[in-house]
Amino acid sequence: MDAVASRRRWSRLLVAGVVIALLVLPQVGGRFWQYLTLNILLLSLFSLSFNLLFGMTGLLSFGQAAFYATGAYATALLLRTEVIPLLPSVILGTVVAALLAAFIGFFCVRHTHVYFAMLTLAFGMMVYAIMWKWTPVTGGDDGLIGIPRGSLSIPGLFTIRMDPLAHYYYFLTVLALLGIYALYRISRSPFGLVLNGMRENAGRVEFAGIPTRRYLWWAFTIAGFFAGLAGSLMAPLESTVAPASAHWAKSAEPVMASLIGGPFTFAGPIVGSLIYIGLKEVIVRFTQYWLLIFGTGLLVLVLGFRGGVVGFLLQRFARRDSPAGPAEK
Amino acid sequence: MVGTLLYQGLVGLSEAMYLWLVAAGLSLIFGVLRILNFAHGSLFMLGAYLAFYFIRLLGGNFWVGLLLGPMVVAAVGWALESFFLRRVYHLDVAFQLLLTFAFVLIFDDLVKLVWGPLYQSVATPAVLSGAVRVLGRPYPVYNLFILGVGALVGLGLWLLLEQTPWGTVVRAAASDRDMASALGVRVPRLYTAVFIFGAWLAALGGALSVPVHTISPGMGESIIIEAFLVVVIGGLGSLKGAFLGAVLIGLLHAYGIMFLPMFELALAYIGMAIVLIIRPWGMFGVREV
Amino acid sequence: MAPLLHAHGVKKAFGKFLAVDGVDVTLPPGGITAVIGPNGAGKTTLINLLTGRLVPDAGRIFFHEREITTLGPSERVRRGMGRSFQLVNIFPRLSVHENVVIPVLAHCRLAGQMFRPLVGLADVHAKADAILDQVGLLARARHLAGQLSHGDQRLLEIALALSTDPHLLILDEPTAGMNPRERVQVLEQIGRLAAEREVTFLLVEHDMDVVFSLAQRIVVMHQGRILTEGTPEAIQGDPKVREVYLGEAILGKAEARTPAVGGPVGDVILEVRQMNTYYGLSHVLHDVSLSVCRGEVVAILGRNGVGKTTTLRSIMGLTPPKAGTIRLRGREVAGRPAYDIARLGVAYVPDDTRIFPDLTTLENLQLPMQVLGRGNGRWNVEKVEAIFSPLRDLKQRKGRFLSGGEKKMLAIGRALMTDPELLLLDEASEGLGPLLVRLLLGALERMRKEGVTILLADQNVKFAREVADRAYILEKGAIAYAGAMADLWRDEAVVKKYLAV
Repeated sequence: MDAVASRRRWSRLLVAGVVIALLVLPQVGGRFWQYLTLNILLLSLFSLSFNLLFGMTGLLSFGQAAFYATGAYATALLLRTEVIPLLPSVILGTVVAALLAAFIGFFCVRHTHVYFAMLTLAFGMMVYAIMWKWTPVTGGDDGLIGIPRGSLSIPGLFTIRMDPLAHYYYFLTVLALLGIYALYRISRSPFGLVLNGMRENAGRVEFAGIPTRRYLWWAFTIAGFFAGLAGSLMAPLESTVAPASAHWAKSAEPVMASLIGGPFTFAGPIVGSLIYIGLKEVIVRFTQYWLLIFGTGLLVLVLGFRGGVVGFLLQRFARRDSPAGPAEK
Repeated sequence: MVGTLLYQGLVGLSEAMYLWLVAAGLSLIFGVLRILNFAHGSLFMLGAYLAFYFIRLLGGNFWVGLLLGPMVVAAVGWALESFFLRRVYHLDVAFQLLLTFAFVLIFDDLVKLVWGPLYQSVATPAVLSGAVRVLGRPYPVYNLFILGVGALVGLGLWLLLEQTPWGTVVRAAASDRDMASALGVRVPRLYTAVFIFGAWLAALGGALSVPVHTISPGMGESIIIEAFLVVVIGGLGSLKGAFLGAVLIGLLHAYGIMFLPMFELALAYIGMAIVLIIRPWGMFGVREV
Repeated sequence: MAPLLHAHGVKKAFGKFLAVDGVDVTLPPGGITAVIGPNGAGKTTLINLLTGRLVPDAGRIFFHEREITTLGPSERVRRGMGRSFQLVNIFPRLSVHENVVIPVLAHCRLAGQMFRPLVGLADVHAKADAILDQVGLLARARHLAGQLSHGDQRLLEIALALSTDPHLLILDEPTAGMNPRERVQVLEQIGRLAAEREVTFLLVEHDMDVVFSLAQRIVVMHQGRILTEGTPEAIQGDPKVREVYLGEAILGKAEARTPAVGGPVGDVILEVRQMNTYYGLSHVLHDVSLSVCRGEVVAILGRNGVGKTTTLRSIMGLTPPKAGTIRLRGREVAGRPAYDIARLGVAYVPDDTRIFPDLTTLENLQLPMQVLGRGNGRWNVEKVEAIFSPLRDLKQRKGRFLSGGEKKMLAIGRALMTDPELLLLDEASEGLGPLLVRLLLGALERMRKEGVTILLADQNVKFAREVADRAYILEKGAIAYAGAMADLWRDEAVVKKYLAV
């Protein structure tokens, strides 16, 4: 058992190191690096929420951007009133996204596999169409611009304006890390194990005494919640929200990040997000046809490397008896 | 008033024909191969672009473009099935979907790379241009042509599947692939043939849309979403369902624009939601998805 | 004492086929009850109705005196019913321990907990380990379930069923595909569990050794109804049960046949050697060897569940063997896809006929013509209709609207249209009334005269006796006997051991 314990200790050190690095970054890095890091954090959160459905539960959803965008638009609208402060706006925006997920999930979870994937894509594009056409509310094709960041305040105690990037950086980082931590706890919980069971053998879970459809609906809603959180945090960062954030091309990002990093471990989507954004930054400098490159990459992954980077590394270096499913970091 | 309604209905019907061609191929491929081809809209788009290319190349001859474009896409379909799809038949459905999705990304950028991101357009061939008076209004001849083609394809498919030997084999393999194999049906070859045929249908739809719609890299994605709505409503794997679903969506769009322009887009989705509640597998769908 | 389970007038039909036709069953608490019956008796359907996988068309089911007729599986499990599956139904990429934790969580009402760490639930883990200990899997708790041996996976299957603390445990063929050592292990476990815990067992089994060593009570099903029930001794001595297993008496006599010889003679068309076939990890066929000569009719006999269908499917290429050889006129075909084997002259008629439901009778018959380009060889539509006259009037009727007997005839006719050298028939007589059986016998004779070699698998010995020259008997996936049909029929000991109950 010593090997496992020492691996756990190294994982903890790694996590601590990453968190410290994140917190220290604004002191040493310029705006470019802060933006890059925040984008990686947001995509990580988004991808982890996608992977709750895919890697953990076995449901491939092509429409998660709908909830991401809903969170973004809701938060943006609340912030534009300039009456509601930042934190409540983000929270409410996330809740709205979760409610939408609960609604759409009702239709989608009664199906599996092919129909599920098709329905999530269709509903996702429905939300896109609404964002695009509902000009009086969503700004239509142009979207919403000039979203103020507001301030973080406890009345009577303090008020911190969030306009400076460094301030918002900490706000976003803390909330994103909390979100990631919450998803981690879920993955390690009884509920998480049941979701894994449903991926492996949904019928058997039913015969264990668990109403699978209700659990699937919960999983879908939770995934929508965290996708919405990612979107809600994005809106004040970019200070604009456009309909493109609900398009299936946006839904494809967490799919690719999870596949690149590996859908069968918790850390996979995070690693994948890092690689995806890093690669995209580089590729975009050389060609505008990065979809072509990523499409080809996806092809290669599907044909040969379905465990992603993390899966590949684990296969090379891991022990025989390490359990699959959400492994330790 | 009735005249206006009927006229608008005819407009909707002709638009529905493109959707019908794409949905027919999608449903056929699913019915036999049990694969949902996300890239089917891209094949529609490729059909349009290639037809456009051949038309430009050969001095404006629409008919040659209509002939050659879909044929090239059929070859692309062959390559897709033989070299890529075949490798993932034994894998989880998710990876099959992801494979076809990868091709959506690839084809989308590929057309941008070759033809640029701007819209293109081509003139309607002389023999099909102009309009005839229908119900007191000018109705484009080309629309009549499209209605004719759509009906012909429907008839042709029915004849092919119900009356020809090959069609019987396809129907048998679709309902019980193992038993068909035990009777000597070379199933892998059949799969390839069906996929090529489905790809050709989608490309034909794309080629036909060239004179009256702008050609753009986004046309693949918009038609595949509509095709999904059609097969959810009509039932995946049912050609009858694909036809009726396409007609329904076409009419919803046509009347939606007329009466509820703000919500016209939402109508199709609402229709889908209603069908999902009353008949989760579509009007004519098969349950064992 | 109040019955634990009580079902009354339960009916279930699939289309026109009445799978369960008014079943009344009462289970007292405690002990082990076995349900047996030949193919098509309705055992699996009954189990699915009792466990909630299917909803009955009529009738009511009571568990612990409370009605459960329309409840879903998860609700029935929560009320104390447990089930194991015939095909291993576990969570392959989770560890053995995790497999068992899932039902334990459900039982402790903790499955919905999202923020408590799973590792912290000491009670749950202790309970899971205790169950693993009971079935003897504790040592392998950290292994991936998918990597266990087949016997261990079956034990895990039982452990999963136990984890919800059931009062009634329904086991569906718990020893299928096991080797003798594993079988003994499992039987011991079940026996012990029945004695120690207060679990009532309901067992569906084909293996008569298992049934008679474990069960205190046996229920015999036949054609969707309960035929009889009683103690093992009573069942063994019951002539009705024997009749049902050996086959209905054939009315009238078939045409006289030339007497058969002891072993295979002449041109060997099919030679199978040391064939081993698996379903996943389940080792279903063990070193099966047989041969068939041109012009012969050879039967594969045995009770249901012994591997007759799997043997035919392996030869046809639908369930390729993992080891062994299959030679068709000297040519090795093991592992080739089914369509290759069909094109080499083998035709297969499955026990569930599998005619194409959306094609008409004529289309079903013409299909091989279109596929293989044949149809003017020895067989054509007219000839098929000559031997199966009822098909003449059914030309345009779609397959789904045919009766069971009509489907059978169509399936055989369709196979003949491939102009086969070797015809594989699985349970040809099953579900046919006496008149149709006579028609079938006549048809088989005509086929033989036309030069078709036939290998048929059947549980109905009396039927096989009318047509076969030679017979092999399968028992637990291995050949137990080979010889002339006439000799076999005279050997009462063999019949009793392998074919009756």
